Amino acid sequence: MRATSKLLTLAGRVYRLLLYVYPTPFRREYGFDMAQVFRADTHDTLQECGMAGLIGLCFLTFTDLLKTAFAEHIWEVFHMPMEKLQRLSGPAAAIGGSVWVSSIIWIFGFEPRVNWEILVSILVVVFLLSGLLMGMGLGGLYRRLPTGSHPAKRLTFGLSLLGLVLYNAASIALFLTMTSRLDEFSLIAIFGSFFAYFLGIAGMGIIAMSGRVLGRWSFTPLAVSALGLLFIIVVPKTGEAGQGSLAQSLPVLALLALYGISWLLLGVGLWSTHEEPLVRERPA
Amino acid sequence: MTEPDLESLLPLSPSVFHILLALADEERHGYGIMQEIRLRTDGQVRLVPGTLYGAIKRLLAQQLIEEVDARPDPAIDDERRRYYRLTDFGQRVLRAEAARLASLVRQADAKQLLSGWSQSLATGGE
Repeated sequence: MRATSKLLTLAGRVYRLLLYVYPTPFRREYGFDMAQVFRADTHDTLQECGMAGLIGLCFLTFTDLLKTAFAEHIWEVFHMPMEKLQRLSGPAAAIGGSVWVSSIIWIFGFEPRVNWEILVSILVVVFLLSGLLMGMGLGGLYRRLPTGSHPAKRLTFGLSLLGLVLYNAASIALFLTMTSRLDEFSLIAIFGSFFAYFLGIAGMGIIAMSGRVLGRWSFTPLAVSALGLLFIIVVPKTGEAGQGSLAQSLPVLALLALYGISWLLLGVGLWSTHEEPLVRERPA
Repeated sequence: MTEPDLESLLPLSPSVFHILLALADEERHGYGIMQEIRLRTDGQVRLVPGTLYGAIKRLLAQQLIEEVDARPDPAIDDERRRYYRLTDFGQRVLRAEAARLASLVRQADAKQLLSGWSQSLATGGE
């Protein structure tokens, strides 16, 4: 009897230790209850089913622990930051768009007398900062999309995030290598990531439009993607015309500025519709 | 705080359905929920703490269940135990899911998939 009691105490201690596998907020909220339930369950199982039942329960509990701990970590990553992000997504996207527009006007409109390396550095910082802020906006948009469109919204959000991460990684690589010339592979990688990014936003934009999730601002995600896609089609053609022509090309400048403005409007849309219901009411 | 869309929560996962069903008639603590499910299903469904509290967390967030403020009498039960009960919204979701499942069973019955099965159940699967 004393041996089984010791065994139960040991199993309880091991389980309490293993609870550290869960994310801290979850463990703080439910760790005590889970340990209490495990203790009661092992005690009753041992009495009802003997040692074989106890071993079976421990195996079941520990495999479940690993599975659910993983699920809770994923949940924390995708939900907790998103909830905070939802509040900040509107201002973030608006600031991202503003940073983009003002930088484009300053760099290409006023042509500051700085050398190429400094200009690339500024561009990369603008890319990273606005990319981060726009990414927050995308997170907020994702949370606004109707829950009924789960597979499509996950796919498009995933695609846009992948593109965002890749083009920011490319920006960092540019910054670190300080290269003024890009080889063919780098160009394909950068434009490919841009394409994935804007295609993902386009998909989210279609879902947002069909659900009217941002009210009268529901067109803005589609506008962002359309301008972005147009940009990656126009830029290589402008580049072919000769070095330097990109900065002097008015349509390209206008396109870049409009792209930033569309993000600004998307931010305003997210901001102004923050209190609105997350999903459209279904007719009775 | 606005309630989530009822339709978007369906279908419920089997474990969530069992938890809500366990709370349909009375408020229970975590282990009470586990015991009720085990008894009701003759031990065929067995929840363990990770799945149970993961589901409880989501059900609280979706406003399908709520924690009962009152604590049990220390003479009867451990006062640290948290009791949960169904919300009105949770009741509606549970009813909707039960109706959905009943409709599926009716469809299966219409295709005479249950005739042999119900005989088999009556004779204990012989």
